[in-house]
Amino acid sequence: MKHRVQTLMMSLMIALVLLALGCTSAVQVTRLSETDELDLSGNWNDTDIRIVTEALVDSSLKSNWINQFRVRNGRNPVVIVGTILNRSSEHLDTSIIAKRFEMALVNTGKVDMVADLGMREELRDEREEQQYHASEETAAALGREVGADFLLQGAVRTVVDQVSGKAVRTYYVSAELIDIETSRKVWVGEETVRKLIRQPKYTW
Amino acid sequence: MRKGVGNLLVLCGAAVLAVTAVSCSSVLALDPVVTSYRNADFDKAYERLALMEDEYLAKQGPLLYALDAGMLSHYSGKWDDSNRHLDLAERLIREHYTESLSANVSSYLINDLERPYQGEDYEDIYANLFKSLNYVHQGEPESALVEVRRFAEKQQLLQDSYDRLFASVEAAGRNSAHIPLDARISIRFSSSALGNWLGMVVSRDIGEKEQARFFGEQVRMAFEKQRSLYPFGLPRTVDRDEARLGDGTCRVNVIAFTGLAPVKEEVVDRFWIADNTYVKIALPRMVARPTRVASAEVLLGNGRSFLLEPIEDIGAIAMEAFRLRRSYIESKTVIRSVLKTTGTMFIDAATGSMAANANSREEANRIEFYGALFSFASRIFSEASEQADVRISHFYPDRAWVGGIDLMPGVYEARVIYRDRSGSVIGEKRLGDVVVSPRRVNLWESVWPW
Repeated sequence: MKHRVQTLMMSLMIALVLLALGCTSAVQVTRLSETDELDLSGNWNDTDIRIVTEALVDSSLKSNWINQFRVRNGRNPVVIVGTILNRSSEHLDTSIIAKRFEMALVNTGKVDMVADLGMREELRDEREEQQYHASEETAAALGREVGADFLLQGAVRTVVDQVSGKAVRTYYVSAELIDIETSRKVWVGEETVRKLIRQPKYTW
Repeated sequence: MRKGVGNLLVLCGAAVLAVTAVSCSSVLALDPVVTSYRNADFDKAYERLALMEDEYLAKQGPLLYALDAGMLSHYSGKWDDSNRHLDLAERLIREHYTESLSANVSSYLINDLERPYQGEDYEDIYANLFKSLNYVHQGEPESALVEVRRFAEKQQLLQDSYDRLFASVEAAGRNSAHIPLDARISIRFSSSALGNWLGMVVSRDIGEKEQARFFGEQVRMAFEKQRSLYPFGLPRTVDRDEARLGDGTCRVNVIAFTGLAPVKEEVVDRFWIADNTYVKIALPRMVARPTRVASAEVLLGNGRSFLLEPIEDIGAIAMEAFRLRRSYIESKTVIRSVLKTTGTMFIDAATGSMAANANSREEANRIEFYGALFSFASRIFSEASEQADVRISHFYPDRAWVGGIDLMPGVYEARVIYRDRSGSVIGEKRLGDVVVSPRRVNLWESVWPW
């Protein structure tokens, strides 16, 4: 009898443990570092952005355009970020690439950046507003914007080679710096990311 | 005796449970939604569909709900909603590419409803097309082009898979007389003129000349290579739509959708193979819901007008997609039904044999009683579980029409008149006051439910 009670208690304990394990929340979060590469769907992700921007920034800084400009003009070149076009088959936020590029250039201390095309309108509206609503001493002056010397532009394109259940997706990310005055391209860079994406036809 | 009654109850309970589990019908009463749609009350149709979301999800799953909700929200001008639903549909189609082996086995034992609905090729492709239109209406041509490119990628994949299918059919034809007839006579749908036309118009209006030209070529090729799916002539607007006009006018295009694509219905046949035994064959059949519109014309407030011409017979493409799979569905259904009936006949035979070898009359009676019960349960199971898979999206249109006109920038009042074969006006849809500008995609859309 005692043995049966012990068995019953043991079974109950195991059942409780299993129940407790089964009741843990379905949502689990694991903090990842920036360098952890995790691909879930095969789509464009943070790892691709990091690979692409690091390579493009590196290529741009190794190029001689900054030094040439500084020698010729005795000051840092001023760059404005234009549009990075999305010519791919995915909905990508290309502004992340542009922003990463901007950060890297500014942090060198050798390049000055001005507000990008989208932000500029908002700044101009604010300056305009200040002329009417801010005190004379604190209102920002008009006509004192720093003109950019170079425009950064780019595009993301994709090529997909696929058969059922297997695809090679290649992203071509190009960027270029154009002298606004002369339309001369002072630097052109391109980085490609290739991915083999496999999806099994059957699973259990 | 008490034990016997208990066993009987357990058996009956098990039979009822089994029947309940397998016979949950997937048929949905969508009539109120269809009625609202047919009344051109797309808002109401979308609302009614949303009200039955739980029932819909339980009976036909999330993919079909997403497709139907995506289409109805598109027709009612809720572009964000439509994109959200169609995004989900696209993701589910991609996920369902990977099939569960256990569900597949179940589909051979019970019915095809055991497998999640994977979506037809045309449903997948047109999801991108309608998403693209949503982005056009939202003033996001770049995103519209993303959808067109995705659509083009899928089209390429379709083309490749059909090429392989036809190569294997040809090889089989050389080696054997047993050539899958449907595959041989089928006209593959691997290039959508409508999708390419949309890509051409959007590319043109955002200044992507090369891309516009590429899509224009694809429109022409779709007509040339798939003549039975495109029995009408290439719309005259296509040649004018490719390039931007340099004379200050804008090329304005109109796209119209009419009717409803086919749906599936169940056809049941019972073949008696013995006095009290039959094989039940339940197969899906496509039921066309063709448009009544024979011509469509756009009338502008300034007195000008232009005709719309058919560019895509979506109904025919849906029929074609089904025809490609029909042989497979039929073979599988017959194998499954015969297996189920064989099971019942085996129970009957085993009961007879065991009863004949029983030690006493009482034992023989007991065996016959339980045997009859098993046999009855097996028959109920076969009858209830053998169901045709009639899952398909319900609100893709039957036909697409396009047209175009050169207009100076400005605001125009426009309406579309729909006529039947006799030339009588059967519908009129106001497009309202629409803006024509060189800085936007000048594409207007109209939907007529019949």
